[in-house]
Amino acid sequence: MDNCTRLILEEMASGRIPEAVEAHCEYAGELERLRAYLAALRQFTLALCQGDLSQKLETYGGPVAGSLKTLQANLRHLTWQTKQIAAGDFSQRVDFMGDFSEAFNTMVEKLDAAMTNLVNLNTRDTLTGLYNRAYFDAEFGRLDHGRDFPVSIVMADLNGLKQVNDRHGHATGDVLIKKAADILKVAVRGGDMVARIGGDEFVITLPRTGVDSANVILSRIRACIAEQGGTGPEVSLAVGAATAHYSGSMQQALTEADQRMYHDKSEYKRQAAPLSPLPT
Amino acid sequence: MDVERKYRFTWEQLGDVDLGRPNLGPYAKVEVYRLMQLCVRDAIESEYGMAATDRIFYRAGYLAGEELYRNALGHITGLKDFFKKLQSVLREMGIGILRIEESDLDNGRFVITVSEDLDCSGLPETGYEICTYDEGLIAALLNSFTGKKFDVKEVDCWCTGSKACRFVAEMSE
Repeated sequence: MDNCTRLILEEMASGRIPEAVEAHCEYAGELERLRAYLAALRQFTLALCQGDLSQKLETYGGPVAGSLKTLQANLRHLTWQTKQIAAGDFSQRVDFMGDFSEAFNTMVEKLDAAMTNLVNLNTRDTLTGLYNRAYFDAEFGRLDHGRDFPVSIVMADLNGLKQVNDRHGHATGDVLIKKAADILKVAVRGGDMVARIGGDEFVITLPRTGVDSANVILSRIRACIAEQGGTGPEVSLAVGAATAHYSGSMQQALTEADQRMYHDKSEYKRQAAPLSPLPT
Repeated sequence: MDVERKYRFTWEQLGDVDLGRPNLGPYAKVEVYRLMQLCVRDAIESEYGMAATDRIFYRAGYLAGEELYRNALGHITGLKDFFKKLQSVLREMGIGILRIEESDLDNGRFVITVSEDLDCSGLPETGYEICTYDEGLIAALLNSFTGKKFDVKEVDCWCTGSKACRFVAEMSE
């Protein structure tokens, strides 16, 4: 072996990559290919270390270049997954990065739980678990501009809440509100939305539901009220329904449902006997 | 010219595996799949040459991709759902683990990897990519989902030293 080749091999064996191979070396061609390969690996690895995942190593194969490319592919996939999570897809899981996978997945699960909790806090009524006023307003607007017409609306108002509160305290009043919420939840279908929009006020939206089907739901609510069991105060609800047939007519339907509910309430007041005594 | 066909593929030809294999069940060894694919590839190449073999395998993969999309993926609601269902189906069927590096539907460009690939993972290093069947399969899946033609090229493969096959898909129309 000539001295030039020996010196270059010694330099490479000590971990350094020469800047160039002199043309007069005996194995100049082979040494230059090896030097270029090592230089490309160094550049690619350096880029990976600096977080640059855009470098290419396409002309080189073999297990070393292949493993580095696989690492780059995994990191690029991890970047993609993180973007998906940022966009709200909490189903992403990592399964190719050892201990990091476990830590990452735990973080995503906790984020998911925290986000669910936050969404519930912002959209749910804490007493009944029904949707709250803010969620109803947003959903109402979405339905009014959507394609689910006809949309029916049911307004419901709890009769006698004030008297129960005054006579038996607010804790008992809360029991009455929860019982009313449970009745409404049972009476509606999967795609319907029940919200508590005031102390004793509830509203139900029924997408893709015409007048006849809305009347069926009203009858079901009344049947559930009639069949209620359990202990505690008895639920009485004034209800009214109306149907919006086209986009932009939801507010009108809401007003009509409200008027019918008040008509029902005045009937209740006219006929009402004194509140049933609470079971002791 | 109409060519008489004996083997035109339909999904029903996969048969009732539960009925036919009450004892052996739905799985076979990966080696058996590769034995058949590599021997078919060998026979076609001996008969028609290298380029024609690649074309035939791409076309076969394309047909498989179309059928897989139609029969195994179910209703797709969007890009996210497409990848989620595809990842699930490929994993369940033991075809490979799909990961996405780039996903740009607007500009028609995707970079994806398939690790533990049924066709090539663990094969000897040959220095060239061999997953032409997968190229066709991915092209058909993307075509079926987007309604646009895609060219798919494998840029890294187990056979070139990578631990995952990497495919670049670009819209061609």
